[in-house]
Amino acid sequence: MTVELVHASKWYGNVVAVNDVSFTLAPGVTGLLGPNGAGKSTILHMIVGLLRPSGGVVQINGTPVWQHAEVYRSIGFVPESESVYAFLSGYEFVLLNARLHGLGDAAGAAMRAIALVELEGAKDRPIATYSKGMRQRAKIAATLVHDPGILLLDEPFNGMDPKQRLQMMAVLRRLGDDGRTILVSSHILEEVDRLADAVLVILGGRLAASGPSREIRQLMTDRPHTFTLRTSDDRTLAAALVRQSATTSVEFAVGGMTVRTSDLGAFTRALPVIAREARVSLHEVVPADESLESVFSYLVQG
Amino acid sequence: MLINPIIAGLTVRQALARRRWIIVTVLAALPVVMAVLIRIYAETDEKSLADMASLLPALSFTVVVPFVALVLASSGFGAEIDDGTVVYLLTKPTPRSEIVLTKFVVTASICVVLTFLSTVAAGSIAIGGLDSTGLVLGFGIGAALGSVLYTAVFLALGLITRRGLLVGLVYLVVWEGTLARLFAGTRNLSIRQYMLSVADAVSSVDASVFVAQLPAARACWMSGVVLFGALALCITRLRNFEIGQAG
Repeated sequence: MTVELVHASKWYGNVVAVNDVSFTLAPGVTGLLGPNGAGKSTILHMIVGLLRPSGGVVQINGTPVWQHAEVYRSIGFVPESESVYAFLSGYEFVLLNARLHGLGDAAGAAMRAIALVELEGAKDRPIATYSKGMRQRAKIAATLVHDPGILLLDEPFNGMDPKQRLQMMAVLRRLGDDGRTILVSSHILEEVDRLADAVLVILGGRLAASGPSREIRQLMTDRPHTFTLRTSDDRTLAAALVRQSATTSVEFAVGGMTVRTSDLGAFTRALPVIAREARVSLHEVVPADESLESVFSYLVQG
Repeated sequence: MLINPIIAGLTVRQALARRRWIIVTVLAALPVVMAVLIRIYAETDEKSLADMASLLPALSFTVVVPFVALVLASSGFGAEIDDGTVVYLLTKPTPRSEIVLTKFVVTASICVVLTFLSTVAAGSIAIGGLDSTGLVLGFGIGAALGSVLYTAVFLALGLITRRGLLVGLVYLVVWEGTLARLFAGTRNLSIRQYMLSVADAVSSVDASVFVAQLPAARACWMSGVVLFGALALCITRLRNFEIGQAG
């Protein structure tokens, strides 16, 4: 099962949502990482045939997805939207999806999918009464019910508690190890890092980086970091810090100082030791640029 | 297969969910309540056929049929696109034409049953049974035709614009309610006029009691054009449907 994007673009009038993205998905779990609004959902919607590419090609096993309903036999898609048919019970919802796929033993397939996401206890309750996490699991069960070779999940862990998150990650990993091609979008680095073998980083509609998840994580943690420090004696600490190789620069500002480092690990280990030796009290240590956007921006520039 | 039984079952539940069934039942009961009142307050039996001939279309064709169709059809695509659940239908190996035809047949059927029964019951109560001229039955058949056409048109509106309900209301009030009454030319594009025309053609009622303003033959072929045009539009729109757009 291969999913292939070749120079795929999507624009709405003058607004470019996805710009010239090319990649091929291999069996296993791939993470689609990027901040909100980066174009992750647009890419997923193009792969699943809910958006027509404005340029380039999106195909599954060599067949363009757009207007080819037959490809849905091998695709499962979990949308980000929470909406489900609220008047159905969880079991009815999964069964409905099994029947829409024309499965021979729809009831059996529905029960197996519900067991996989551990929703047996609540299966007969109307979905309207479900928590966010339970809805999410019902949606995933409905997507797994026809045992698709390709699974696409748009922010599937939203609303799940940590235990459910870990359990769902284990399920997805197992499905990936079985040879399915799985693409999971997320704006949380840790989620993707734990789950995916490979990562595609999307920023501003472009593919900013791609590769094995370990390499991507390294890229993100090895970048320069900036901290704002408030101490009992800024000048003494600054003098001690500049002697460290991990410190790139120190600037004084009103109410504190800004320190840049090229090695996050070495700096964070050394800082308390240096402060103690210099007899300076650290009142506040604030990472200045930890937003996901700045991490991604670094990747694009770097 | 043109009709998908699984989608049909879902469409019935969607059409009657969220208290829609209460709204459509109350709407369908309006002419019956009116007929009972006419029976109670009518002074002579002779006047009742003419009264019915003027009052029933005014209520059934102007209010009940279009609004029952609007309420039911807005659950067809408009509501599903709005809340995003349409994704579950579209990501299945089902031809889009099958989805459209199933939704249309099911929604139109519910609408036909409700409006036909409501109209015929109201007419019969008002004049104390079915009339020999077949006018009550004619109104019933007119209501059924209107249900089919309005359902097709309102389903298409739900796929063309996110404001399908609003556009439907504007069409009913501005076009059918005002323009089609004032200008003869606009009657050719008025479903209400087709209903009146079919009722007239089916019955043998005297022109002094009831007469339609559009020739029956024209009403019939125009109905065909509207029906096939609306369904073709639905199928084309759903085939080219892109998520997150006007829909």
